[in-house]
Amino acid sequence: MFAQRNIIIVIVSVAFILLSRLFFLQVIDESYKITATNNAFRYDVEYPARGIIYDRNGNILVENITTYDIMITPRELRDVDTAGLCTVFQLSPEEVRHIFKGMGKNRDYRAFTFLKQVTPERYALFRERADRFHGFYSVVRTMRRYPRNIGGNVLGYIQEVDTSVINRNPYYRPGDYIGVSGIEESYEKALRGKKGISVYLRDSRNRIVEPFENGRLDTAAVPGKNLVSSIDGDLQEYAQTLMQNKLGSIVAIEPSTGEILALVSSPAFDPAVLSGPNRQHNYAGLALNPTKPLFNRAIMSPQPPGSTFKLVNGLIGLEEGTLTPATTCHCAGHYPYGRGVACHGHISPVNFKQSIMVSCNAYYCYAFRNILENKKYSSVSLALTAWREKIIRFGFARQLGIDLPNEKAGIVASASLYDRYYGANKWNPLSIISLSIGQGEIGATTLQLANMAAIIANRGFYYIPHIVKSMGDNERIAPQYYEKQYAGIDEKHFEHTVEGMHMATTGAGGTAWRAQIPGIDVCGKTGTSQNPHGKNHSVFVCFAPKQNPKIAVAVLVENSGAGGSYAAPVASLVLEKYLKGGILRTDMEQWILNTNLLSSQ
Amino acid sequence: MRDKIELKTPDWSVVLIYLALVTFGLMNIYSTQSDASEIFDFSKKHGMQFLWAVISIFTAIIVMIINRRFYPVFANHIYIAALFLLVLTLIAGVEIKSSKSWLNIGFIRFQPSEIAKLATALALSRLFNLYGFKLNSPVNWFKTIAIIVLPMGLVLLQKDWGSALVFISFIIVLYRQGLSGWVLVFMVFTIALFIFSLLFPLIWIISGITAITAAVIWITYNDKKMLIRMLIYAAVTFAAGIIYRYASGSDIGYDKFIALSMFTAIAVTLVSLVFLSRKIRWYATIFFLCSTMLVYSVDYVYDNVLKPHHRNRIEDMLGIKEDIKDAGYNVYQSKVAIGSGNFFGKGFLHGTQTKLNFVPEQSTDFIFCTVGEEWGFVGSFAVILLFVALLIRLIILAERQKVLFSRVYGYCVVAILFFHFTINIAMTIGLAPVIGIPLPFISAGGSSLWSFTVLLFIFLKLDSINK
Repeated sequence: MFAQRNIIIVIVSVAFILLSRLFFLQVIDESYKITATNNAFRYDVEYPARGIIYDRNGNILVENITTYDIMITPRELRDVDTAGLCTVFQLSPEEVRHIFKGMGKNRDYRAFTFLKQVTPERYALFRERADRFHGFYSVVRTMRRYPRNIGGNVLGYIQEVDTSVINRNPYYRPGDYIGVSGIEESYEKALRGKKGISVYLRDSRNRIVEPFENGRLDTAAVPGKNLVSSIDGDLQEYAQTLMQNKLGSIVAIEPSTGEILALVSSPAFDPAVLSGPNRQHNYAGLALNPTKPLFNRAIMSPQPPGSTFKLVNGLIGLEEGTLTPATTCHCAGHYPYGRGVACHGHISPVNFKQSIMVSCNAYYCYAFRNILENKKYSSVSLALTAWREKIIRFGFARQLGIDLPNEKAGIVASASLYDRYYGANKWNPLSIISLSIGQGEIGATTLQLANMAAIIANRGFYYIPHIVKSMGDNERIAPQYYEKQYAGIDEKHFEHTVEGMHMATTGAGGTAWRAQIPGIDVCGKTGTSQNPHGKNHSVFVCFAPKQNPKIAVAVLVENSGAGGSYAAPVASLVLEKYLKGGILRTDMEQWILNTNLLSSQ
Repeated sequence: MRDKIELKTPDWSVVLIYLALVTFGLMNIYSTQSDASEIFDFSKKHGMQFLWAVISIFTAIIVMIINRRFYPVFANHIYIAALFLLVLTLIAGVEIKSSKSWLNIGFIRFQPSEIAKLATALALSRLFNLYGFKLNSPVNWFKTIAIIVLPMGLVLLQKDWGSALVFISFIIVLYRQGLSGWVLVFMVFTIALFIFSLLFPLIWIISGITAITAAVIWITYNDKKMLIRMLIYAAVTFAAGIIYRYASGSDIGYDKFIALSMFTAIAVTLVSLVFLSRKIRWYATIFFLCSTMLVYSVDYVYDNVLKPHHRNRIEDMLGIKEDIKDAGYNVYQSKVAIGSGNFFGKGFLHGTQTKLNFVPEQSTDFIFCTVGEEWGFVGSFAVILLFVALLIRLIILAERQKVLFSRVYGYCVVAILFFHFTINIAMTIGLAPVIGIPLPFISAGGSSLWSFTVLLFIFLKLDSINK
């Protein structure tokens, strides 16, 4: 009876243990209940088509094409036809084996991605032989396609979201795509649309059993908005071609609207290489390239503007009254005060317009000193601060607010910086005289220079440069892009500057003679940007025609010499292309196209 | 005794519990068939199960009609036939899920191991029924173990681990028939030691064993000087260890020295006591040495004897490796299904987890998930209560048997049902490794239901004489 009792005790204790565990699982512990709802419902996401991007003439810059992800249900795999897979997907047997290795120990119904972004042609082959590939199936994916290889830095690219994005923004789920640069990034919300969700009851094999409550919780997908970019596809392509084998950037703006007609950063990259199945490999190649093709020089690389900055100093002098159009100056080849500033041989004396035409350094040293020693201000420091405010109104030392990500502000030295550098009151106009000719503690992006040209072309105002004209059905973009911005200089002063710029391209001894286009009144200003990275950058700003300008352009060609040498002809070819639709100066075009500045470095 | 058909009635309480379990099983199997519409659709599992339930009940009636002396007389014949079937399975069996444990006979497929359990129960009962048989001579021990181990070994050869382990349950019968309770304690201790060795650092285990041994010595040999001597041995060893540590400049942890000191103290004490002590000291010594050896052999057994999938299941159960994708997938889904049932369950036919194929083997080995999901804690409680009632009633019935054969057989039935019931439910809730044995009377599976029915009703027949 002793044994009998013990056996019953054991049975009852075991039953008690089982019941305690069941009580814990079924009544107390909540975690298994939550999992059960996730398990049984299947949230089928309907991915909306991403918006298409057109150029200003209605030509497609980016569109979508359908690709297929080939998936495996490991449990249903039967006799894998490796040879067949190799032929269909053009893989080597080693690659196929490698992919299968990645599947690990997964042998159930959870999907495994065999191959991503298979082209429709390959997919058709796969479908033809589908009976040979038991356990394989496909999922439709849309991919970006670029009809022309232009505007990589403008358009940007999309990529699968990573965990940091998912943690920041609950909209995104693993496997979603997001724009990570260019228009794709800045207009992500408009382009992506809204995902739709269908809720189904499913079983563990992901087999859908039925829609949950007849689709009560379902939401429809909203397609992404199409965008019309202000880019002129032909002009963009031409400008990119001109910049081949050169480092630098071009920005072309329509002055009357602030719309960007072309924005080139050279070297450019083909956006298509970041869209296909070799994306990762290609991306690594671009990221490691020493010429930094992914770096958008036009908006991210501030450089000293050189003599192009004389235009602003001149206008401020006129506005302040410390300079008049009649002010003349003798130039003996240099500015003799302080450490001195060298000039180059040109006619002398020069007046205001001529000073722009021949780009006289001494003239602007005097002009700048007069601005700083203006009796209106009690100290040089206050005068510099007032000057800097005008510079900022002109669009320098701040982000202009272009609708592209990562725009750099550039710099213009402030009084406090010099106080720190020289000590308070230990500096005078001569210490900082290089600012007069756009050198020293000053850096501007090509976009800011183009905007400066647009301000002068408009005689005093601008619209914030933007690269997208409209979204969806003629929907306007953000309101600030339609507001007139004033540069703080009276309209009457601009005629003298414009005239000087015109003379620079046409007058005898004008520095910008290469920018002259027969039949068009071009206004331009050269600049030579001294920099610590080697040979001077060649800079040029211009607009045309002189009356009712249609286009303002800024060009920076890195390490190529004086502004008149390369930047001016490149800019004028862009003008000619845009205004005339073709090029008559084929010699100059050939010369620029054949110039390779990369090999000489 | 006259040779006429006996028409004694069975114990109705057991029959009622049996019918309740089979009916409840049928309902749950029906519920797992998500697209089930026709109740009597014989292409579906529930239809087949219904058919088998009818066949089983019919067989039960036949069992009740057959002369009860048939079983002791033909016990050995049945046993040998079962062994033959097991061998046949090894040669001509069908392999399903890496176990070659099924035989195809025309339209039905069954597991001879189920018949082997029944046959072993009969053969064991017959052996104990022999005149003057007692578990005291080595020959009798050998016969007993042979009867159990022979079919068990054959089932193991089929790689059907679950069914083979069921034979271990006969230890309960042996216990009832006079096996020392210490053997059971020893077995439980061995298993516990095995599991602890996997879970905790070696040093803890050795320290634990040493502490237990020391306690035993202390309690049985109440000598204060003994304790002081042990402390001195320990202190000397520890000091030697520390000197060695500094002399050699090694960075062995202090815990190792503590364990070593304790080990030395016990070992020296034991050796000094061997010649002057009573039996208990021998046991202490054997316990100490065996445990230490076992602990050291665990790693070897674990890495070399067990197969990877066994290791995965054990690791998953012990929580060493939480893996809801591979080995743990089944148990995880099973726990989710049972856990989602809450107190009252989702209601008959309203389970989502088991209905939608999340739980593998949901109508057979994991049928308890459907019970847990659709009937909640109330349902789980009812099933466990029914089983406990059945087992206790069977023990009461077994105890009232006048014939030893019947009593032993009764305990065999209790042992087999208890093992199946415990392990099956424990594995669905993650308390035991998944070894794939069915829940008696409830799991889908014709041959399983049929053989459990025959197993039970033979005992009811044997018992019916006592009414």
